[in-house]
Amino acid sequence: MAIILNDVVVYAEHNPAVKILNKISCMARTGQITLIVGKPGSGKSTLLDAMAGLIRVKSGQIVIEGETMWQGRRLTRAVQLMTGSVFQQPERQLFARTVRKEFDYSLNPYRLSRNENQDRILMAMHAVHLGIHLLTSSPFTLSGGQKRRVALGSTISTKPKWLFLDEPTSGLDPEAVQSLINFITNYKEQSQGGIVIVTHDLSAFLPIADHVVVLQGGSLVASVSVQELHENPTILLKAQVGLPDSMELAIRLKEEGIYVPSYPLSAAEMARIILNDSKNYDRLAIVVDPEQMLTPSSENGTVNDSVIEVKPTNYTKNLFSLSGVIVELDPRTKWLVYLLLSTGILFQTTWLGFSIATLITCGLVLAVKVRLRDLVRLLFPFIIFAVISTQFAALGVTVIHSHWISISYSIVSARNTGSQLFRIILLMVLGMLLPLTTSNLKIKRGLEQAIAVLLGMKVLAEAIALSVALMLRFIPLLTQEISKFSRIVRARGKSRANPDSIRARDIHVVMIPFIVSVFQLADSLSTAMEVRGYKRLGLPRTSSITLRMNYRDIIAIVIGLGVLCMLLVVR
Amino acid sequence: MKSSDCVFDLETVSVAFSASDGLHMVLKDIDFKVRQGDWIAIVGKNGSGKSTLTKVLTGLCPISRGTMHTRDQTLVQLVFQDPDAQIVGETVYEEICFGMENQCFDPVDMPKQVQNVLQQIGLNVQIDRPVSTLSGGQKQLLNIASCLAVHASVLIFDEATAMLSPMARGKILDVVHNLHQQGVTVIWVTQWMNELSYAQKVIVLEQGNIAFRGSCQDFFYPESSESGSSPCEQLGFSPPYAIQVARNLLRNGYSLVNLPTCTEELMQAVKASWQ
Repeated sequence: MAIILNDVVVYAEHNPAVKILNKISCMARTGQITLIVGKPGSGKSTLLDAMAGLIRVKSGQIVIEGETMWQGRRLTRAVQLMTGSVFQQPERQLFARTVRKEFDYSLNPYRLSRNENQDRILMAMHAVHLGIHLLTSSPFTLSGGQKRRVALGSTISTKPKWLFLDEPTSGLDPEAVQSLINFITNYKEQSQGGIVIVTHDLSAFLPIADHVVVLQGGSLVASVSVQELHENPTILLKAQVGLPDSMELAIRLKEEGIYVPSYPLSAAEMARIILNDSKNYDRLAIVVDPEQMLTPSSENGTVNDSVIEVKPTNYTKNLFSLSGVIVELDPRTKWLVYLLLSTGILFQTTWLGFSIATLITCGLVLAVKVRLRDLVRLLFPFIIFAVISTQFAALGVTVIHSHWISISYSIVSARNTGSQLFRIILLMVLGMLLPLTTSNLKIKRGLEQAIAVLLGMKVLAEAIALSVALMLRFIPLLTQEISKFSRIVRARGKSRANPDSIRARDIHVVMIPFIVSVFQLADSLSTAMEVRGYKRLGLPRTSSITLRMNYRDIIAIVIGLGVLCMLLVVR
Repeated sequence: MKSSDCVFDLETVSVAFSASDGLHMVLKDIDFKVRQGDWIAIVGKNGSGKSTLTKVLTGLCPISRGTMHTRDQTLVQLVFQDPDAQIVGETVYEEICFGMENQCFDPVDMPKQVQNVLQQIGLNVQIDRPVSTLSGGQKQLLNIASCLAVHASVLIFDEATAMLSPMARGKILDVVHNLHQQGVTVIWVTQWMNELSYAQKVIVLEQGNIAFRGSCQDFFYPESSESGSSPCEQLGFSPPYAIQVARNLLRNGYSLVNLPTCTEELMQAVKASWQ
């Protein structure tokens, strides 16, 4: 049986403009080890997630063991229960108080008997070479390698028909890599299932693999057997993955006219080829047909020759467009204009005033070309709050004769509350434009210069500016981490929740690894800053950007003042 | 050797951390010298103390016992494993300038210096390109460029290629090799055995001790007979493919003029035997 992908298209989770997988058709078979390779950013982890049913596909079809993976927007339950995923750095996914509870969490969706559960746990602990006595220990007291084995063990305890591994050797030392390779080979023989591995460690995995899927820039470069890959190594060069040592040596020998067969050769076999060749002085008699090296003699493999070259995007900002001008403005100017506009908006009470304020806000949003989705996503909770508050404020409760309660609905109160909250929404939108159009370092520098001038305290200014800059840098990282761990929980808990949400009972499962990983992120960033010479606040340093206001800033401030005056007039 | 030749001179350096169950020795009595222009490879398994050693060298980790002399005017810069965890700026320009700002470079010189270092390592990107749009290999090149911008004389790579594809790894190694030939001192911490061939000296750490120090050849090939095991194998590492092939050749009586340490050298040795 197999997983069959047909024209699968996937877009980025939070950015529907970015296509991550572009019409991928390929296949992975049971009883085989399939590798997905490609350089970072080629979409290989996304392809793995699509095969495991962890992300929705935009179009195309995935059939696993004869079952269609997605029934409309629902993941087929049978499919969900036959897959098991081990993510990158799986040691970070642990959260439970004991190792046994880690297993219980993974096994829970399968509703097995107590005995069966126990058998599965013992089997898995044995398979990953962990002593049974560790079941009662806290996963956090284990070594990195042991943690990783607990994560692997908890996944295989569910006996998945399909096992998905994302960069399983990253961060492992060579000895651990070897024991993982042995484990995977054994697992393949015993489970009779399929194994799909995303990796850049071709030296380790190519010798045990059966099939290779090569991606570049979200498109399929090739889906070939390991032998076909050896016959046509240019696939790996074209996809900018590079060659493992064994293939590189084989190519170099072929270039010298030595016949090297096209399958993974052990070092001993390769040595024998060189030795035989040294006895055979008639080396030039063996002619290697270069054409043969380039065309795969393929039965079920596909090689895509028409992969679109990724063109570098032009990142130079266009100074002649309005959005370019706004982006380039001094952050202090933007802040001042923001203050002027907000003051004007806060004074509005009439319908005319609201309309003008709304027009100005919308005009600015359009001018700086911010994606509306981003704004709406950030504003959504507040809009809900505003609607509820408005309705609540409109309700009037009157007690008549101390028995009867009369509930009335007042349009006037609703309008008063509504208009107040609406002004705040406008201010929030304007406020969001500032960080969206200014780089973090510029915001930092602007704050630094402004505070230093206003308060005359340089160290304080630097401290405030640095914390703001770090917060701005961290927020996107936090979102990434949250979605990473929620994906893990969906895979382990077999939750059928929407890919963007987390079930309430899974929150603690996400939060513990999340907090640990945020601390690690913060730690590595502070180490990096220290190494690069930012040892503590107040040390002498220079600044690459000295913000200076130019005529554009003056024009912007004048326009801001003009708008303020106009708003004050119409109120 | 005069100690002034040494960029680093470590004598019986130990580092200990206190934990709930007592004192943990992470490095034990390490003696270790690095001279200007060296390329030293440090290998070791997880938990062997190699990351601590790099932190000691960069001054990020205080030593518990022993002495470490660092030559005056030595600026050490570090490139880590995860390219994303060390980038502070949002664009290529901001990122390279961050280090120069900390070292009080004159802002007037910065634009030229940024162009210079990008050219030096062959990273051909626009300076206002957002860092988030670079590939993993480009990010590591950017990190190297940032180190060069502040005139670092010692570069320490702490598993800097672990998250990259073989092609990107080759590219980084080539760039570093180039810099080394221009006189930069390189300390290359790795778990990949096929990254050692540029090193003049290989140091293996095991549980905080130096378990081996010597040339790349001494590490990969057994001391006496060809059938014995090499320090590499004795310490639990598997030799790279090219070395395994070379060892097989030697065992079968094939003579190699030089003991190769990488695919390229193996090819040269094989070709030399044809003549």
